[in-house]
Amino acid sequence: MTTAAKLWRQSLLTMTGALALSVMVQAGEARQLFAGKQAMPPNDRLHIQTKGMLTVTTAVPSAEETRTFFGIDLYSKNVQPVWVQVENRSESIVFLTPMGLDSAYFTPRETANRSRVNFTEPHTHKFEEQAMVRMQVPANSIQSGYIFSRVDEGTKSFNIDVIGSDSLQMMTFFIPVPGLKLDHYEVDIRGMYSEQELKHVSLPELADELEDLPCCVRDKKGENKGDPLNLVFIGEIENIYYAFMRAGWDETETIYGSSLIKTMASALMGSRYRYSPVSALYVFDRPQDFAMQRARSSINERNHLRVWLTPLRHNGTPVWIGQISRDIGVHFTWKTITTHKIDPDVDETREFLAEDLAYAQSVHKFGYVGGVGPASYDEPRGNLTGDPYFTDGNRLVIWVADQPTAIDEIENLNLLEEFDSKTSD
Amino acid sequence: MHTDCPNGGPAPKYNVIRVGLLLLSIALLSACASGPYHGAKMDDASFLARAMTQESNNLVVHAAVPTAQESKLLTGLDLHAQGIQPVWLKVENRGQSRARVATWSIDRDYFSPIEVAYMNRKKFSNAAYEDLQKWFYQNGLTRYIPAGESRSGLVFTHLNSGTKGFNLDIFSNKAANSFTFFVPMPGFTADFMQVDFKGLYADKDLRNLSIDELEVVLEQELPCCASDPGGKLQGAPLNVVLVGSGLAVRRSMLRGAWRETAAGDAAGNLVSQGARKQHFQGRQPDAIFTLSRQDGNEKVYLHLWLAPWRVEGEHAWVGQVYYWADSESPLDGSIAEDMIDDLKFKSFFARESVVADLDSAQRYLFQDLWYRGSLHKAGFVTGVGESAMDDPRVTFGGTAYFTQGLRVVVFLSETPRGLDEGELIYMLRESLPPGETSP
Repeated sequence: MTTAAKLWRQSLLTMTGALALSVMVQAGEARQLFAGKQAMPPNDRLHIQTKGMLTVTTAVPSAEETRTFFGIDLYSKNVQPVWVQVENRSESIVFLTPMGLDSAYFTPRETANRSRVNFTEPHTHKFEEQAMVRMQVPANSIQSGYIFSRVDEGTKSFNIDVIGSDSLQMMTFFIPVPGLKLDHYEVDIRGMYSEQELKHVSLPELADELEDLPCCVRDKKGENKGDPLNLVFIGEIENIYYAFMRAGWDETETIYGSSLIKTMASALMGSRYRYSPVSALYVFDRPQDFAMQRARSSINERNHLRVWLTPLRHNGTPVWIGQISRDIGVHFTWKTITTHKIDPDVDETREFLAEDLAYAQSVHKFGYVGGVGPASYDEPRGNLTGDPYFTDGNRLVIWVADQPTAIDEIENLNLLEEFDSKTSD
Repeated sequence: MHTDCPNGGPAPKYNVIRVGLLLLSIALLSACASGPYHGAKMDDASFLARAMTQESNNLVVHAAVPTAQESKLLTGLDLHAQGIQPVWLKVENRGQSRARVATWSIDRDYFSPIEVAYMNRKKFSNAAYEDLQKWFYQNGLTRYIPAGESRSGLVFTHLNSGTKGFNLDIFSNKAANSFTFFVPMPGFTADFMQVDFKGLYADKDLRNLSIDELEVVLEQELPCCASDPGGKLQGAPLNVVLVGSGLAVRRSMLRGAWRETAAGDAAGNLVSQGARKQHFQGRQPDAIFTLSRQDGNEKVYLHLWLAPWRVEGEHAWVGQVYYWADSESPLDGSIAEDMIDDLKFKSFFARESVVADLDSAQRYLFQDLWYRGSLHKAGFVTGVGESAMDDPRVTFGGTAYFTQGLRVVVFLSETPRGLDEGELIYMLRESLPPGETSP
């Protein structure tokens, strides 16, 4: 062992303070694991995943639980602690990297600086003592502690990456955090269509069926046509949802009094209320099954997406239809005083989404079908708030990947024979 | 429609509140500004003469970036003042199949052409806005380029100061080509551009080291720390070693959105002034890179010096990495001289300050390089020596710090590598023997 290895091991031993041996029972076999630094979990909503010789347990405290535990309202400082326990039963050292959990994680001292009152009282130790400070998890050991991330309300989605010399284990956790009422929890996705209503289609049939779906969203009365339905997703709800979370999209809150107040405040003050509610648009005589949004720099610069489940199934996989718009500002109308102005170049917004999901490694293959109907720049159509839009008339069809897919592995399907000539103008 | 404002909204018969609100809004937005819009002809833009060209797999890409003034001449709008920096691209597709430009790869939060137009609508009448919108729409870069053809246009990115560095991916079915551009901007010279790297060391002074020899040099020969400009007092620890070409370093920094520092950047920037006092081999850092938190005032600083070694034939860089926080003014290191030797103050600073926490900065850099695909091999070696929180070492500038005493060594990869393609070297190569971890 080199000097460095000795020093490093020594420091690992000293950092643990009182050493303890814990007996872990795994697969019927009693093993002795070296107990490294430990912190108590914040609640009993533990989420456990095991891969090979590695078990990771996580828990996310709510805003209230965080305040109780740390004595400070960290959520209001945009800091959300995540409790992580790693049990490494292998014979080699592994690294737990906080950056996998949040690319802009806070160190314990950054957390301290966000919540300190002055620079005269000791404050840092409250976080440093509970934190998972070091990345190294030695062979046959168990350790736990907090990683400080940015706040996600609703569902906390994160990766735990554990890197070893010859191995990389990636685990994705989705942990509901109490406090936000999200629209898609209210929709019974599985019970939406009966077995008789489902339509199982082959690939050529799929293209035909997709072209026959409604061109556009409608208002509640079903009278006026609005924004074009220019997106199709093929995938299980979990994979679609994971894909959007990985790409940094946020869930939306159902419209309630308090959320409207938050939205108005953020529109006026320019702050970002990431979960602000979206209005209902209608397809199949019902409002969207779920909606997502991705903030850019202010509430007036967001992308909105609404999605409906169709009765179509392709190779047993659900088919969804959706509408996306890019808010490019606020404008004033006589009807509602203010409304978001959308980018009339709806194809630009559609292609942005393709890339956003592709770079989240979530696109398996994609292609285009018709169904929207073209509208030219000089003769645009109008949506429900009177905004014009123009389009090549195509729908982007995305097969959502169920495992990470690099951009050079994405298959481009030619579902539309004339596509080359159409888009090359 | 006839109102005071050309092409303004209709006026009659709405309730007083709405009319009042609307009038107020109109007044606030001074929507009456008018005048025709004339965007310049793209082909006549003088900055196109500075276009840089790269070629790969039947794709030829030309890139040019206008200055603030050139953007204004081209569009008639002060886009830089709005944080928008147009990038002009021309892509020639000499291949057999359609190519797709991934606009996202240049800036994932790019502005769409019509978005930029709409942001500037208030200065124009409705008729003039139509022209404005059309100019932006027509001069935006299209995504698809048919085989054998070429397309050119603007992509509207977020403004960054200094050299405009960006990636560009162009893909087709199951294939992707990645380009990286560093477009020099008139008026900005990065510090490292003024260093004569070839003249720094004579050939006879350069040592060729293997990976194993590097470990010995780092643990036993390289001083723990930089020095003051006089070479007498101890500065901050040399806790980073990077192995790779200058281009590899620049690409790694670009992937992590680190910022270059202007040469002679001293005016008004106390931290850069302090940074330039750190000396190694008798000189200030060859390059300083910084990374700012978007949601806070913390920054990570990385100072690099070219080392007098070649490691397995590659250049090597010795460096320092640390956090800085503007909020810590009472703790920011610029303290009264009589405080420097005050043990109580020193250990308070070491216990509380993000600046004192060198190992967290080192961990951040290590992960940043790994997650951005810049890490080929990495490990940790000793050489800095431990500095304890209770009795911390202090730099010549009066900054107390604590550290476990390790140096991170990273062999950089010029092309992006997956997370699972990194190799651990030195002590991390060895797993601890079973049982050794028990007390």
